[in-house]
Amino acid sequence: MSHEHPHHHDHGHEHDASGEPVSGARRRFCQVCIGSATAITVGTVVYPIVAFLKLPLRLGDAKPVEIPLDRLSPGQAYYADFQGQQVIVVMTEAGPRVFDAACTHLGCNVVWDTAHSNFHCPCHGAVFSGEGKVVSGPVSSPLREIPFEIKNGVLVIA
Amino acid sequence: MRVIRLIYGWIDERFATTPLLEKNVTKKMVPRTLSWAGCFGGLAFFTFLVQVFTGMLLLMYYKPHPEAAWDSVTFIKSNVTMGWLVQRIHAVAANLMIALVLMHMARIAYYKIYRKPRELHWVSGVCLLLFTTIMAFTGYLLPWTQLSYWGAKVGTEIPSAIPIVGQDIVEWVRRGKAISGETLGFFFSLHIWILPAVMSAFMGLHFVMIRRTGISKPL
Ligand code: HEM
Ligand code: FES
Repeated sequence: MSHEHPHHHDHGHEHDASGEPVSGARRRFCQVCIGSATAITVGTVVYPIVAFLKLPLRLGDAKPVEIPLDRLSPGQAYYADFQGQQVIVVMTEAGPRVFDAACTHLGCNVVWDTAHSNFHCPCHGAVFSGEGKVVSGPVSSPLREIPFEIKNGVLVIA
Repeated sequence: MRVIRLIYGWIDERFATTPLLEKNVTKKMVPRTLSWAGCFGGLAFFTFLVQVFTGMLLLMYYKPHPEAAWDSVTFIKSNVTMGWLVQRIHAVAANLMIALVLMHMARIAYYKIYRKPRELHWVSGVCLLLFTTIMAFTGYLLPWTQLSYWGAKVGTEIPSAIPIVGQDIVEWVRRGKAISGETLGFFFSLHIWILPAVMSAFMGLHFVMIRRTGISKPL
């Protein structure tokens, strides 16, 4: 059984609209252009879909934060990203402490005030002591403390 | 390329797809005077397909419950790879779809294409515009944000202007006196299943009728 395929006949001497013979090189150039444009278009559609189907990031998958103790100087505070939120590491006289940087009022990130050795919140002026306790402002609970370990001189939050 | 041609040849030999494609796509004649504005209907259909597809992806994580809806959308946007993109495409293409349906209708109105024999094309088109807006309205409640809540509250208030039955209609649409989890469930079922099914049926009719009458030839 066979069907007529007019475009499957041999294109021995093809001519374009103006009667010029169509050169193979020009045809190939067009094919490559159209082919790559199609490939790029299909790729930009397929890639996000495949990526979407991957397993999503869960909080538990986050990498632990590791900070060598010798990089922490007394009276200074450092921000780090832990499980998608900011934590603040302070080196107090009694050793390092780690807090969730989110203010317990409405969740702005608190700022370490080196001069007064306390945290203050830029949003509504809450002040927390270096131990995270409430000093003043529209808050009633202390900063959330984050547990950590010290392994071979490295502070590890996991 | 050769593999694709081989597979296509195999199918073509059995189902004679080439003459079918030539008749309906590659060698199909459209009026010479058809302008670019003639694309809007097809583009509106394309955005519908985009919505169906991205909507199905969002459904993998979306949870239609007042306690969980907002968190689930936040999860899509921040934890699912490319989730932000899929979520944004769904929200932006929704607006685009309404704009395209309106532009499509503007062309039909301007060239008076709605006249005999195409009256029912217009009627089914107006229904599709209505369904599209309801899709956007019900979808907007789903992320359960402040804007969603107040948007739904104000929107469902509109029928209260109707005398006598107005208040009953408002309560029927809200599934109660106020916007609640019940409203969310109702809007969700309309958004992801009932309306897409009804719209597909209307689009099918719309396209069959266009095939029967052909594309209108401008004067
Ligand atoms: C089968 C088709 C569809 C499915 C399964 C679907 C599914 C969904 C889901 C699960 C959501 C909630 C997630 C989110 O808010 O991002 C949503 C939101 C939404 N949908 Fe759809 N949808 C479909 C078609 C449409 C269509 C045709 C339109 C409009 C023309 C539309 C407009 C919207 C809008 C405006 C939102 C709110 C997005 C936002 O503000 O974040 N959807 N849809
Ligand atoms: S958020 Fe910190 S004081 Fe309001």
